[in-house]
Amino acid sequence: MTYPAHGETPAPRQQQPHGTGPRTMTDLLGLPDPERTLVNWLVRQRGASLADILAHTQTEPAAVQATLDNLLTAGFLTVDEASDPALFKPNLVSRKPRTLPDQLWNALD
Amino acid sequence: MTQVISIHSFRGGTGKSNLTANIATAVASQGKRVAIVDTDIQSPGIHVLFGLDEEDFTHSLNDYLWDKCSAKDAAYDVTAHVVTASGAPADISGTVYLVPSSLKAGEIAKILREGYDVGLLNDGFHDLINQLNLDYLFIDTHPGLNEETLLSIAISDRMVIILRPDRQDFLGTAVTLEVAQKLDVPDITLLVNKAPDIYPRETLIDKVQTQYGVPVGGLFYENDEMLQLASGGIFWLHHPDHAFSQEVHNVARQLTAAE
Repeated sequence: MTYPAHGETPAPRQQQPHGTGPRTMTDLLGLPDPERTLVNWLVRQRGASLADILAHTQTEPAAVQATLDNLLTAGFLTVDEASDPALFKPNLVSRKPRTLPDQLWNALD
Repeated sequence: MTQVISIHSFRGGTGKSNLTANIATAVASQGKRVAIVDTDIQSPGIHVLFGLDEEDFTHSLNDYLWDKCSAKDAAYDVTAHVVTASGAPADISGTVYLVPSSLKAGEIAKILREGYDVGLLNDGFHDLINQLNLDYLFIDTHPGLNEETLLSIAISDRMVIILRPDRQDFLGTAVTLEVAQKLDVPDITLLVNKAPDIYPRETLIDKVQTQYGVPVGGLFYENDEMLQLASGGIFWLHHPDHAFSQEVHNVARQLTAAE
């Protein structure tokens, strides 16, 4: 999968495999250095276009595309299609739903 | 440009919220516009230092995270609540806003059960910065490393870690530093709090700095006046000439000097 240049239509969100995202901050810590560094930066930016990512990373476009590809597949990123140009955004939640019985939680409501 | 500063400690009971309130108010006394967000959703409490009761606020951070209000709606200007030892309003030239977390058991449980969108919390921080025209955003975090804390660390321009001169704190701080480095936090400062007065200042600072390779921004000794105040206000306004208060201002000056 490759990603479009600045101004073109990005890869749609539904290209993520089911069941991979969103991820948690703890998952982020487990990423290899280059991927984690990129997601860290995107968290601070709250999203960035492909052009901005290329400018920030100063890395070969093919390598950046491969990294983005991996992060999208793993559910760490989504593509905001409503933005022009499209933005790659972190796809993180504070925690995955807990498995405690509803009865226990309901008692606290 | 607004500085986002997260205040963290690996263990509870380090005086994190107390120092956050004191330092943020000291920064505001320099004419700055400051907000504190209580992201200690599991055990909120910093509002007490500003004399706020649960009945004093309509909205909380929880409401924002559930899309019941804007981030600004959950921010309260507490500048007028900040008083001196005589009970008179303090002369703060800047502004202090507070975004409290809910104290309702059901609402705390709901957040623990359902979690929230990390991006939404991040967006809320930026909304506060823009809409309140802030110079500084302080994030009072939950002790230890958890999902909420990791986000606060990840988006900070500066992280302040509070520790006591205690072996468990020392070990935990090392872990926290490792995580902060993994999250690419640009600037990290340590504050040593509740130090017994048997430790000479320079010796203790040197020991901590050598151990972690991170600067110690302040050293605060345990004192009876703090115990007597019992979170009943902002310490430096009640005891402006106290060594603790001088150290609070020293840290505040370091933070503003880094602009």
